[in-house]
Amino acid sequence: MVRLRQRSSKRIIMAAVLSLGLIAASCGKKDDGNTTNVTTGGTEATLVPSGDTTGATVAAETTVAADTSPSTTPAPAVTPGGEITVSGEAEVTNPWTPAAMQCDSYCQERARSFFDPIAAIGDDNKVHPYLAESITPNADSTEWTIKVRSGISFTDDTPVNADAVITNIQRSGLGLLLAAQLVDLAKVPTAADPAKNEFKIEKVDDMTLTIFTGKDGDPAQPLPWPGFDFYLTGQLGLIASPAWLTAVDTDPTKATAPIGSGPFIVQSYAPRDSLVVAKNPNYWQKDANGVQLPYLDKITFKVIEDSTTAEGALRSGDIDVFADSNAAVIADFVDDTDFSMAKQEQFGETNYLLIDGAKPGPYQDARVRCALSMAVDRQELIDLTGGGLLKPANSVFSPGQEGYLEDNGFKIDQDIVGAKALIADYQRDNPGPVAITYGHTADRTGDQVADLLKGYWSQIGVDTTVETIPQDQFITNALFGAPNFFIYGWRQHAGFKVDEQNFWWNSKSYAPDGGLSLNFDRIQDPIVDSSLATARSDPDPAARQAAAEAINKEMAKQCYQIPLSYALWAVLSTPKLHGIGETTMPDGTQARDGAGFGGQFWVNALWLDQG
Amino acid sequence: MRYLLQRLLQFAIVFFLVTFGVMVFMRIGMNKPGDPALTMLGGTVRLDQAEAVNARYHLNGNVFGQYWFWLEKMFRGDFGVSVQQNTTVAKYLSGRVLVTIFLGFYAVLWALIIAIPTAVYQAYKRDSRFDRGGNFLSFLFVSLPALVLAPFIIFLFVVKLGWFPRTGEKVMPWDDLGAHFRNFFLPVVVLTLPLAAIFARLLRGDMIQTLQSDFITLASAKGVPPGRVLWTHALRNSLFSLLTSVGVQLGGIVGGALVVEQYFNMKGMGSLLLTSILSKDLFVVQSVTAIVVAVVCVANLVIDLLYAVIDPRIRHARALT
Amino acid sequence: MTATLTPTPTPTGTVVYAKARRKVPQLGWMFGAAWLTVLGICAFAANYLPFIRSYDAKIQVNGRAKKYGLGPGWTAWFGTDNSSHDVFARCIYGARQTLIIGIGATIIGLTVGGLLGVLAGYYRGWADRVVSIVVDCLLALPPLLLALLLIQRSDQIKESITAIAWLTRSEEIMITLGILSIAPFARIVRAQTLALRERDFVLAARSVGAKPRRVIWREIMPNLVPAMVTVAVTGLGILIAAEGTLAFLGLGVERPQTWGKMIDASRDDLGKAWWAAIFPCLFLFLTVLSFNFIGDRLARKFDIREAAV
Repeated sequence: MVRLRQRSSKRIIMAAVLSLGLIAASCGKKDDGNTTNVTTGGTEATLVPSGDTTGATVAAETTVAADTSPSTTPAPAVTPGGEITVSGEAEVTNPWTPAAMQCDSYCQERARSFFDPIAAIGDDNKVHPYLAESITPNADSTEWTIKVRSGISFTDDTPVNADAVITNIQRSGLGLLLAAQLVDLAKVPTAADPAKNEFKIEKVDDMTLTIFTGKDGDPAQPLPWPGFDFYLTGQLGLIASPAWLTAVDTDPTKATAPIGSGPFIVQSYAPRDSLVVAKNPNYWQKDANGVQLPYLDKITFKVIEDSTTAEGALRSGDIDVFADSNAAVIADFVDDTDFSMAKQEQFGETNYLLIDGAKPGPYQDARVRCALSMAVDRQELIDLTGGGLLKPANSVFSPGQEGYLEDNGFKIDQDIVGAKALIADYQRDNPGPVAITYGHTADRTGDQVADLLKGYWSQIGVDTTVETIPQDQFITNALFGAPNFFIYGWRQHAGFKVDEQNFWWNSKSYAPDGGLSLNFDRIQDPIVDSSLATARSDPDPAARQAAAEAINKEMAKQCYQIPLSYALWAVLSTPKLHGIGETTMPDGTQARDGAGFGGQFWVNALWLDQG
Repeated sequence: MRYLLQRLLQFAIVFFLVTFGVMVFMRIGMNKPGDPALTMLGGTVRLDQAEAVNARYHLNGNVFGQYWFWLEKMFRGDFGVSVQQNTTVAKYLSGRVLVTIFLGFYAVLWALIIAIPTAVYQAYKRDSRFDRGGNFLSFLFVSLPALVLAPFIIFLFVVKLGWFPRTGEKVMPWDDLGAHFRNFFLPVVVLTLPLAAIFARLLRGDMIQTLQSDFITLASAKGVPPGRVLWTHALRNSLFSLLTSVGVQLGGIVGGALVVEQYFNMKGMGSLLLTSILSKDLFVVQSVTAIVVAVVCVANLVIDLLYAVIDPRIRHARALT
Repeated sequence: MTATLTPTPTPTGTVVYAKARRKVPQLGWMFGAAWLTVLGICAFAANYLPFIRSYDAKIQVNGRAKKYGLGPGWTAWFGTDNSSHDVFARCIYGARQTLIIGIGATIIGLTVGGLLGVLAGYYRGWADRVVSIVVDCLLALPPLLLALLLIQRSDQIKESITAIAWLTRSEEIMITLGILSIAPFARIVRAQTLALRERDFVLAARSVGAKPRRVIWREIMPNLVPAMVTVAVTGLGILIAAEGTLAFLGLGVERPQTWGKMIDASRDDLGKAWWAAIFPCLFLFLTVLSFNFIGDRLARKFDIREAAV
């Protein structure tokens, strides 16, 4: 997962990623390649009270196959109590303040055990209010009014109200990445210090607030943003106790003992090792039968960096459940009836090669990029590194996502002859040998992929230098266009709507090498830019869909990225654990596991067979 | 006494040099404006935020000032903070240090339990079948680093036989003794075997030498029972290399256990150091290396004292060099 | 790693015993020499030997590359790895890399450590104090920790000191391991030098007014060679194991992979494909064992006993 290298102590609030988790592949990850996992959810506004019809277009076939344990089908009586151990691949979080977390899927999963989000995504792929009672846009989606549920307290007994939500959003918006995503929210000078800006948020009453949009932050130019609510389902929407946030300001070490209003209360936290949470006895939610949530008494979240070790741990009973994206490990469980598996196959990340298009030399030439892409035997790569389970990718739009196309004009099959011709063509203009550098993090699958890529590219006469990049520098290098960032193995771009990817491909977030550029690929393409603008603000869903497809086709034509395969996540668990994928939101809809982030699942409704 | 003081002084010099060296070494390349906090905190941190951290932890003075700030706190028992993890180093360490202590303690203990009787008997029955077998085995295990030994052991005892868990849980003996031993058994075996081989080889060599010396012959001639000659007189006078080696290996345990920690997913000091060095978490690296160096130095000092207890001649002999 | 030198015990016991004692080590060192010779030839002539595939060659099963497609057999002697490459060929290329690193590191350690040891042992006094503090400092940090520090920081160091920016990954590892071996080498050489400088021929040379430099080069150095060779051989075994450990921890050379990396890559698939991890393990083990056997043999021959390396 991409780890953004920022951390905070105190007001070093950095870029946390909205719910866009930049997840570095690293962190001892071994999976398919590498990774960055970015997500922001974005669905259309479909909020409870006002039935905005635009929401209807959410990706057509949207069901994530959730084969949970067979025993759950006839809905056996839930037995509360018991404790479980969960493991995750990596620890990329540091402080637990929503503003500063660098949240990947496992971090989100854990954060939701003690924080409640303002909104969450349901299995209908729409945004549903969670801690909020309602989220309502005005007619042209330039103002968003959030009404917070009343009668809820944080576990330090301070109330959840409009002030608490405003404090959280203002603080989270200070993070660099979050700020970059929210460029189109209106900003006004703060009351305390006119030199500083904050989001334009108005408190309507004790429980209600309104957020205003504005093109590039300008309050005078409200910008229709029908998909804004999606951002509230991610990191921006996690609400922590303001009293605790203030305490962290003075004593950064308090950041390891977060306080929210969630179903569990943090008992202890050891970085990169374990997080123990215990049931919040006064949690505000009950299930449909009136049984107090959560069911479990205690959860221990461990960090097992290696998927195969985690597999062994599950088999030997050391852990009860883990989410994994290592296809080779998932393959081991496919026919294994001793364990339950819930697959998350859609809206996920894509494994691809990230290219710094601003680097002088062959990287700027579409012919070379496309030749590199054509030299790769995707199916072989998947067979050898992905257990044969993954599907070859033709773009960074994964199936289900807005803009995904079966045929986008991209040449997905290996074509050594064609690739050689492109290289020869390039060499006519640029005489001399073509040499490139490929970087990846030091994990096993990453090593294997690098080895294979070097083999493919040597077949078309391209000489590859392979570099291992320390995982802590991986994302930073891409972010700042470090001298040794040329082509990285990467994983990113989960989500529903293309608007969620806006700041990753927009030339507004481009910066030349050396500057902070969220536009990792350094794409400056007018077609992409104008389509992104349409996808953000056009009231017509069909127009947004067309814009998304236009982006897909343009990127395929230019080979801005070299897509390899679509990531696959699975939640693997012992059969005595039930309730995965069965969390019901306050409005009665089922919550979607893995929304916004592959691999995450809700822990509220998990329960164990007793006895 | 003079000898002891001399050793103390030397250890003090080594301690300061090494800790200072590590500090300087970790800061190489951190010379952008806002460093070291900027590097430590990572890419997207803002300059003013980095400067705040620099000021808070005195990271912006000259190296000696920084060293003093850290050292003085260190001696007052404050190991500093992990700026990246937002926790104190002491707290960060507390969950992990016990794992390493148990691993190291058991490994050295078992290595000695295996090595001493074997080596003594080998030396006693020199060139017997037992001796040669022992020699051969110790040769094998000396050549088997944890890296090579662990997969075999895991394959046999975890994958095939399923006797032990795949990952070692940090169960403490006071919580559940049985589970504690079950979780620590395999990692300890992997660490113990090569260690025992090294110890046995050393002790056997020294024993053979001792057994040839006059006082042993004299003792035997005086009619002291052979067992007593062997286990008290001879063994006692043959412990020097072994003790030295134990001292050296103690430090090595922190590193040696790293491989074992990786294999069994036990989070101990080794993996903590690995991640901290990687992520440039300055205070963690500095404080942990300081602790390790102090432990190694103290262990060596204790062993020096043990020499003197075992054999008064050593005091004089050593004082001369 | 410390090493002390003491004279080997004069053999006692009966003649029969003495003979019996000789037998085993001799077999051992002959095996070691044979293994290292064959391995060395294969490793350095790999490109010309017809029975060794190229590093990137994939062995296809039914026309497709297959993860662990073949077990050990005639086609691929040691089977194929997770990328369908020939495990045997990769073991050999790994051997080349490992041996180069090990030998390079030994040379660095021997040169620097030897020099420090001779100076300390010959001049004693202040030189000795300084060297012993340097050695103690190097020994105070556990070797693996020191290696981690050096390698992890190497990129920053290269950025700061442009004069060494050309160092490749394998050279960095070589230098790191070389630094690790300075302290034990210096200790042994110092002890040897201390003993030598009191020997009659050295005293004679000094008494006729030979300059220290001449005494060191002409009288002491040649007599240090056996000890240095012995320790170097044993040290090589340890350094190769250390290199494997570093590679295992992800700090190895990118290409060609060494044994530690190969073990790491397939250690969790022992149940499915034991060959992919076991053969590199075996290579590492046999190579370390061979160096130990030969080192032991040399130590006996030259009357050198090294303790606890």
